Amino acid sequence: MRALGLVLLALALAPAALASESHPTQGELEAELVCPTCKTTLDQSNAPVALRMKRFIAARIAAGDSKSEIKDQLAAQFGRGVLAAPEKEGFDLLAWIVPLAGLAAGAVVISLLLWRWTRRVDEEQPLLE
Amino acid sequence: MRIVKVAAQLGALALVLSLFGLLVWKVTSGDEAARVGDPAPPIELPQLDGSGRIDTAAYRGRPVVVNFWASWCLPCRDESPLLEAAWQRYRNRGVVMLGIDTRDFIGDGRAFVEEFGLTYPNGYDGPGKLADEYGLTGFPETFVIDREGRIVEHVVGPVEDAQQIHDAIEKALA
Repeated sequence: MRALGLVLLALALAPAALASESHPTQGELEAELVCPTCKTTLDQSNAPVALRMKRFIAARIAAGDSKSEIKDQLAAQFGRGVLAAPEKEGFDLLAWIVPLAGLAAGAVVISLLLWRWTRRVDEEQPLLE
Repeated sequence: MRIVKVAAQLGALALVLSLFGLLVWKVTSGDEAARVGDPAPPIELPQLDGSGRIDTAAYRGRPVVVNFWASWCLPCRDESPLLEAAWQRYRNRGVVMLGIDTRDFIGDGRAFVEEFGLTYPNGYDGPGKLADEYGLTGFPETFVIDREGRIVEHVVGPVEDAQQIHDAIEKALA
């Protein structure tokens, strides 16, 4: 039942993700790209280079480019450092994996501790009676 | 069981210490800004016009003026004619003028060069890697390097007048 729910959720979100990729909005891209001089996302910056990048994004959206295409064009000019989120490949993949692995490891440790604690309580119970 | 527990505690301690060490290293190991008296970081970049590469190794023994600029930088527009004039004045005395278009669209940079009629070589440093090596804090900035490859003058902000850049170049020629 739970698996069916997850599948339905994925199916519900997929069209939105695809629409965002093929028809990105100005706001989305400004939140996902970094101003190369002030190091904040474009939507937080009014630096001259950020204003120029915003004009570029508007022009590329109007020309019908996808989100990935626009990001790739900006990264080709300014380097991969303009991407606000680390890439999901190569060394940058670690930035995605390590936090999840840490969460998983924490969950395992907490489960083990809880299991040991409940077992100890169960073993001690007869002594109390 | 006790050995496993101690090993786990030591492992956790080692992990925390190594993360702390990484944090300290990251905070303390930022790029050192190039200062007057320091050897100038070497420059090896593609030419802005796509015609080849710029390599300061080819200019060894000659004074070099390195000007970091960008097309979106308004003060860069004010100083460009001064730099072009200085280049025309000193090129026959062996001085090399290099413009470095940094954190800019390459097309905008080329249009800027054309608009101001710059005839000295210009390199393209889109991602700003060289600018980081020189420790740039803003735009524009100019470094004047002597024949031994040492920085003798560093102008933060635009070159204000012809005398300022002439004095700096004379220092490099001395």
